[in-house]
Amino acid sequence: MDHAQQSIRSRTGRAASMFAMALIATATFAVCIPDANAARGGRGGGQMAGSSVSGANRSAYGGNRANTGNVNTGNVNRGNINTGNVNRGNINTGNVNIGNDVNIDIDGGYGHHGGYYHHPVATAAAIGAVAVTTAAVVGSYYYALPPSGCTVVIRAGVNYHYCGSVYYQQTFSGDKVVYVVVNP
Amino acid sequence: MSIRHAGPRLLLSAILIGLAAPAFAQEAASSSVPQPTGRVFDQYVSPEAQAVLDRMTTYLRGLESFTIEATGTRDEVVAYGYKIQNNESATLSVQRPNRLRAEVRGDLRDWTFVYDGSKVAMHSGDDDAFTTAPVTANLGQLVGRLLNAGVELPLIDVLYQAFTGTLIEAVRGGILVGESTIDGSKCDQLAFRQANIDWQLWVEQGARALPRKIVITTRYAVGDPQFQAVMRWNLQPKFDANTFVFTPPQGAREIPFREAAALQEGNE
Repeated sequence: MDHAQQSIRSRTGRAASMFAMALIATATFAVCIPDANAARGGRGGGQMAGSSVSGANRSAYGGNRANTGNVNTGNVNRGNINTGNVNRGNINTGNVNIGNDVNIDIDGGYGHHGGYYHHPVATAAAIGAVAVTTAAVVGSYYYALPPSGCTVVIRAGVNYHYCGSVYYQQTFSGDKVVYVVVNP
Repeated sequence: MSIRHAGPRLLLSAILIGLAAPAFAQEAASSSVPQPTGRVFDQYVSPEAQAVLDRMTTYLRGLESFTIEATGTRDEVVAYGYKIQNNESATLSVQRPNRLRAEVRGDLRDWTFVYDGSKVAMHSGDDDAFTTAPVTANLGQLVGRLLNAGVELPLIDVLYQAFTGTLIEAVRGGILVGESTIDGSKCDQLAFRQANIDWQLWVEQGARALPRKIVITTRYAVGDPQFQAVMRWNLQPKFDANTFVFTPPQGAREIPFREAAALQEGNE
């Protein structure tokens, strides 16, 4: 039976440690460890562990939810390691993310610094990581605004974020705050 | 590994291997490998595991009010399969029939939820924004509607089991692993497998059959990320006048809620 390793330093001693160090060094140079989400500062961009059984059951077996708030939230279009995992008959089945993950690789997938994913997302379907500044479909939504080029516009007491030629309104979706493309 | 645990763990291995078999068979179907007939492993929860779960459910359903303080971690798999562990702590305050407050503080979010019996309020500290939506429901109904709306309350599983249904509705198999101590309390450790997740639950032994720890493993995801939380319970909570009242922090903006309709009647 396999067990999780309990110490970083191997019991087999120095040689193994040196090997480990070499591995780490290699990894440091060869791999840009996590460009998890440039726009949000390193957290929240990856594939999250699901945190509720009832949520998983609801999304798999019933549910009219647009987004379960569990496993999928925030992962599908962020271009990280989800590629290829998202729709393998797992918890996503039956919700709106299906069919959208094909977008993941459009911008090159791994290590895509800057966090832009310019594919337009279907209205009220998949959620993208970072909003776009052009050609956005009204009703589509994103976890973050572009890192620059946005101004706040107030109309009738409502704050809108104007980025390029697109207006966004901050909105709760499930328990998360997202930016919905609007036409104020 | 102690000898005491060897029996259940071996049994667990046997069951889990058995549970895996139909999936392999299905995948191999295209190469004309015969598929198993019947649903041999479906819905096999051992009587010992079921008894523990029933004991917990009965006890939970008898509680009028409680608080849970939970600390836990949530794995996040980022580029190249690197697994980041995010810390989180949560407090749940619950008063039947229709009061609920949840606060989450952690690496990923700073979030508050309040239900006062007539409306739901959520506040995201990271975004300095809040929303409210009218809801008339008891806690059981509310939990169902929150699940439909995609609102991830911390430990919603505990509330679901306590007020609504059963967590094992999609389980393929489950067993009692053995005894395990959480925060000094002897617990029964349960292990369940279902299509997309594995989960484990530690239930306090004796009359106070409370869930004390939960682990959920997301299957078929790179790295098999896990969520885990240890729970500390207070069954004599002292709520004050503000516990179930939402007061927006100064400067917070009110924003819309996309799934407000999912919280309405009939959407449990």
